[in-house]
Amino acid sequence: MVSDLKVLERRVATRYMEDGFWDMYLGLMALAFGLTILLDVSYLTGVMVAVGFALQRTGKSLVTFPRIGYIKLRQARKTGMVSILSGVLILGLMIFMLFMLGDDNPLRAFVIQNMLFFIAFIWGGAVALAALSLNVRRFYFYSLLIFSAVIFSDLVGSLGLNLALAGGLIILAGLVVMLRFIRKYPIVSDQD
Amino acid sequence: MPSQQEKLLAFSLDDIDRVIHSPARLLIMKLLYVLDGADMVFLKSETGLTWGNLSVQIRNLEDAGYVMVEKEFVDNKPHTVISLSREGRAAFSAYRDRLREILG
Repeated sequence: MVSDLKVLERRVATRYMEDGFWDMYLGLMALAFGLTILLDVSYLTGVMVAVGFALQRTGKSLVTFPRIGYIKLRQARKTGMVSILSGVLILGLMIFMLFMLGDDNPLRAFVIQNMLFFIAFIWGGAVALAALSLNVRRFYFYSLLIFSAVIFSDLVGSLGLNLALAGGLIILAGLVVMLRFIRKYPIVSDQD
Repeated sequence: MPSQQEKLLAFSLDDIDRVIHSPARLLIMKLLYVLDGADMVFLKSETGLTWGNLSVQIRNLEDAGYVMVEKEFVDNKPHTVISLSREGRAAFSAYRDRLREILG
C-alpha cells in the first residue's frame, strides 16, 4: 500500500506536466539563450525568462487548474525538485569559480578547452534529471536535443543558432502537448 | 459461543474507522494523504463524484476533524483548498495499519 501511495503521488504530480507549460518554458529559455548569443543583447535572456515564467503561471491558472484542479505537492517532493535545481546551480557556480582562479590553473584551462562539453553536460543533464524526477519521458528527448545543439555547434551552425532552433522545436512540442491536454481534459463544470 | 478467530475478527472490524471506511471518503483521504492540499475540481475529477456528493463527504470528514477547508488566493483568485489535518493523517495511517492486519 505504501508503494501504491507513492505511485499515486507520482501519477498526480506527473499529470501536472501534461499541460506542456514547462516544455514551453524550457524551450523559451533555450531560445532566449540562443537569441542572446546571436543578437549579442545581454539583457534578452533575463527578460524572456521572466516573461516566460509569468506566462507559465498565467497559463496554469487559465488552462490547467480549471481542467484538473489545483494541488499543493507534499514538501518532500518539492524538496527533491529543489535539490536537483540546487545541484545544477552549484555545479554551474563551481565552473564559474574556476574562472576566478589564476590564469595558470590547469583545471581552468581544461574547462575553457572543453567549454562546449561542460555547457552541454550541465544543461542537458539538468533536463534529463528533471525527466527522471518528474517521470516525463519527452524531457529526455529535450535533454538530448539541447545536448546535441550545444555539442555539435562546432561542426554545424553556431551555438546561438542551434540553441534558438532547439528552443523553437521544444516550444512547438510544448504547444502540441498543451493542445492534447486541452482536448483530453475539458473544463470541469461547476454544476452536476 | 464465538470462536477465538471470530472474536478477533469482530474486534478488528469494530476497530475500523467508519468515517474513512466509506469508499468515497476513503478515496478522498487517500488522495489528500499524498498531497499537502487540493481543490474541489481536483477531487471531483479524481473521484468521479458529483459536486453534491463530494461536498457532503468533505463535510463529514471536516466534522470528524480529519480535513481542513481553507480559502486561499492562487494567482489572485480565491480557491477552496482542502487538506488533511494532523488527526486525519494519523487516522488514515492507523486505518491502513488496521486493514493490513486484518487482510494479512
